[in-house]
Amino acid sequence: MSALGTAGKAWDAIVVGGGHNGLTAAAYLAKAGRKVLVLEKRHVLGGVACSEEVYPGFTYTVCSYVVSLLRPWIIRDLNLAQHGLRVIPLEASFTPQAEGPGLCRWPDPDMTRREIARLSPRDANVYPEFGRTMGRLARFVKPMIDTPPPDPASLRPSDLWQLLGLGRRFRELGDDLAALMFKLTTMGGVDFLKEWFESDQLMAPMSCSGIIGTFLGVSSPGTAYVLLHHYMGEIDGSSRAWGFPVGGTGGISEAIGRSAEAFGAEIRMEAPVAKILVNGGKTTGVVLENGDEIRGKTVVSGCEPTLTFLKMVGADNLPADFAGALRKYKCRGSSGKVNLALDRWVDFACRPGDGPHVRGDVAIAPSIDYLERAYDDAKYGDFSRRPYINAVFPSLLDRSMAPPGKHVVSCFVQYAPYDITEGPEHWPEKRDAFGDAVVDTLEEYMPGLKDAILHRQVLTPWDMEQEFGLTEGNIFHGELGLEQLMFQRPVAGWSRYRTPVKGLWLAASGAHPGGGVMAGPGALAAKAMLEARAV
Amino acid sequence: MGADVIVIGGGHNGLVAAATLARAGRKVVVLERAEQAGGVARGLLHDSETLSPEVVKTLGLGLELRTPPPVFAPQRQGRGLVVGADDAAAAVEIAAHEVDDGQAWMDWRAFLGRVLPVARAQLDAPVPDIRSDASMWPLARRAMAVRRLGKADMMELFRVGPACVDDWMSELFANRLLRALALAPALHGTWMGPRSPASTATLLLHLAQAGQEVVGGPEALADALVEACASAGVELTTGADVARIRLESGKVVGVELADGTAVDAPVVLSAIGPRRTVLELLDPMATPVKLAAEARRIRLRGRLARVDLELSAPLEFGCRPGEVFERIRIAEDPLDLERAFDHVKYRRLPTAPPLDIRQAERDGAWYASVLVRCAPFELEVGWGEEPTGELLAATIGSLSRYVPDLHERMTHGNILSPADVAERWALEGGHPMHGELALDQIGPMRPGLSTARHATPIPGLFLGSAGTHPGGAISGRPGLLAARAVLGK
Repeated sequence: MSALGTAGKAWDAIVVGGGHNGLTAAAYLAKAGRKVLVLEKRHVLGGVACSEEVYPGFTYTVCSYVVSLLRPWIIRDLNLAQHGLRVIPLEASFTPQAEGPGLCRWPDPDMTRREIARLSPRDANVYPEFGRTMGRLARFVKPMIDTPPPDPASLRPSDLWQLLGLGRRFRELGDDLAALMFKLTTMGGVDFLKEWFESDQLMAPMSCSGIIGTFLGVSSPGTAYVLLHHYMGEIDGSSRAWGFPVGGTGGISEAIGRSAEAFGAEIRMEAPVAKILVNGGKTTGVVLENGDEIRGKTVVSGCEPTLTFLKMVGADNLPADFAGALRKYKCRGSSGKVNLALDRWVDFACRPGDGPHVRGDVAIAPSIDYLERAYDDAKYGDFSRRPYINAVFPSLLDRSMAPPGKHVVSCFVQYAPYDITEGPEHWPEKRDAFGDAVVDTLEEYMPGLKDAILHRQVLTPWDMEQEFGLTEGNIFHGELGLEQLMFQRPVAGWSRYRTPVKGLWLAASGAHPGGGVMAGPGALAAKAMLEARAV
Repeated sequence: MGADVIVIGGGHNGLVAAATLARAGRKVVVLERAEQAGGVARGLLHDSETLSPEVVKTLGLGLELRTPPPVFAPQRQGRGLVVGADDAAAAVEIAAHEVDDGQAWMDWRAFLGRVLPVARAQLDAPVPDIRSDASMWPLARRAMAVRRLGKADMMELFRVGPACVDDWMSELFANRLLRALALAPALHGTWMGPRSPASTATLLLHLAQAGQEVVGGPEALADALVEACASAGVELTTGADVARIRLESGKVVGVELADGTAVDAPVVLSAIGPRRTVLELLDPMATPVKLAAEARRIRLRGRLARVDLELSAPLEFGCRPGEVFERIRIAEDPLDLERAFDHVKYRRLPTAPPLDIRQAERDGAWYASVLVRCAPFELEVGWGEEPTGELLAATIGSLSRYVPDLHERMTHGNILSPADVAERWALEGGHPMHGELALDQIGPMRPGLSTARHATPIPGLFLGSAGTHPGGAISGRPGLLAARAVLGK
């Protein structure tokens, strides 16, 4: 479509990027009666939360693949259920082992207890208590991801009040929980778990949640915090569950897109934005890659911060300290994605069948040292020879994902560092070797897998940058380190969705509360804009 | 035998505490297990630059202090780098490697000059009471002190503090040798590599304590402290191994030695590891559950070995012939230090360990002490004769890559493996600080929430070793703060 179509129309807000956050922001703004235009680069909606039929008959959840943290209030506000959002709870968390039946953790505490007791009776007793304690801490943290972050540098009474309130709530936790909360935010996942458990085979898969999307190992300080996310997720109000959206993660984006459209937003596909226009410190609209200009006083970016500011806005249009801080923003990708189309079901040797144990997520995480070695490969500039893999079999959960009797496998793979020794632009030459490492690893647990593969899609961090605009392939739009969370996301002093460019707002995972298909940044940004009467 | 206060352990912190208490008029007995007081200051650690000036002042120690000599980081190819306390001189040396790094060094030192005094003030004072029954006011006051730094420095601290020190150094300096040299102290007393998050915080913790060193090294400090104790009237008993702390109706009444001797006192200040104090010296039935749980959770995975070399002539480095350096650090790249940590992580022997060396002349002969900070106490195969010999060989191998004629100069070499270190100094886990430095084991969490202010839930029992706030190498701060806690200051 050309500029003609927009000639007569004045947009209240132009949203750059039709990922789930951009769409969420658009839906909220449209719901408030604003005229909103969403510009998406690709032919599929959803950014990294998309589903695509890459191989005929098989639908891949190309990038992100499970959902847990999508905020329930957003689902309600945007009537997402009405717009087709259906989430199937994942039934289990399975860790196969080379010997023995492996470990499966179930929603049913008694079943889980029996499984863990095989490894350690002591751990089996501690596990429920651990869950309860984490649940209480999760309730403390949850309000923080549902509100804009406090700003410790601000001396405004309302900000000081917010900080004081946070301090008071922290104290109300009591000594024991407060100490635990502190430990959670600072300790390594493995060290934290070792305070509770003894079984390496139990701790290994548990500690993995702390490394997803980070450039850290399971023992690295600061990784314990993400353990909480397991206890924070909500699906249909029931906490601590992970789910798979019908139709893949694209199902979420499509539901949000339909909601936005129902509220009156316009979504334009294959309309890549090249530049965000700035004049005298104010935005005046955007330019598409085909040269079309779309004018508007308010632009909302659903893209990654360095892409938004350093590429689309340009450092010349930014205050020097802000641009400098963005250059220091850490955005190292560490993961890849391998999607497989299978001709038939392939059993796990240690626990055959396509029963409930594989209708959740399957973690290739046999031991803590295995995970650390996987990290070491990445530290020195290569992908893991034996990586951590989190596999989901969407076709077992949603029959529409593959033809009858056939299957799709979605493998999240870590580590695949963006900065390989040869330089990131050499990733295409290594893509196949990376895919092989993943398939070889899986084959050890699923003998016969290779013979059943009909098609394989391998996404390296380089591909994610090129195709999805994820700078350095970082799935969270910036590492989720303590120093890049809360009031420091993406840059200290600019954590509340506003940016140094007047009229430009940031509404993506690079803003608080960060990534994980929460849609929180999109919703909170839209609310902040409406509150400030900026649109 | 009786006293007002019994100090368990005559390490430097125990001696500082004892002398402080005696000077305040208390009758103090120090019970030291070894035949000589001084702890890790005698023969284990070789730097004394973290000694607290406050301790020197409070105890009127007649020590000669000096600016520590510069550190030399040799290279196999290249001239190496000499960096000392004189920032301008260092900048010139640094700029010879990488022009921009010279100015970057000056800027970094200026930043440190602004923020370290604020950090130091936190280390010289007891931790604020953050427990729920306390007032918010002291906390708020501390927060205000940090805010007075100004927004830019404060935000920079927030940004770099939780991050890994390798990232910080990479932002600042282009030269990898300089990065390795500058970040090395971040790893002291930790179970971290340069890629571990929060290693920036442990670097700042070290730098905040670093200042002048004692002429004669830690041994001279130990001598001075023993003398200060004597002149203050402290009764110092060596060869006295405390077996348990005696309690009556929940209160401290004294201790009992391994030979059955009882010593009475209403106050016991334990200047040995907090974990061992709580779990081994207290009656488990009388120990509050929370106190025991906190103690059990203290992580103290040691990684320190020491090699002593006797030399016919000082170590001379291939890249700077004819020059003699007192302090040498071998690690050309931060990743060398990270690889060394990988060995620790997998509990195996290092192959080419980075080294921290001091050499000095004594009576015509040269002696070098070499600290190997990547030898895991929890070695997979256990520390027997064979791995100990292998570690010695690896250490000498590392050094001889830079000192071509090492074998001709070396007349004798002796090694203390982490297991030897643990035994000789009675250090649990072979850890010289009785507890790793990590964000969750410093400040109000060191050694645990209920004991961070040196008093414990057991009336009369105080903790005052490096395992308590503010931790660190040879500083004396924990001993001083613990003594003040006893005195109710």
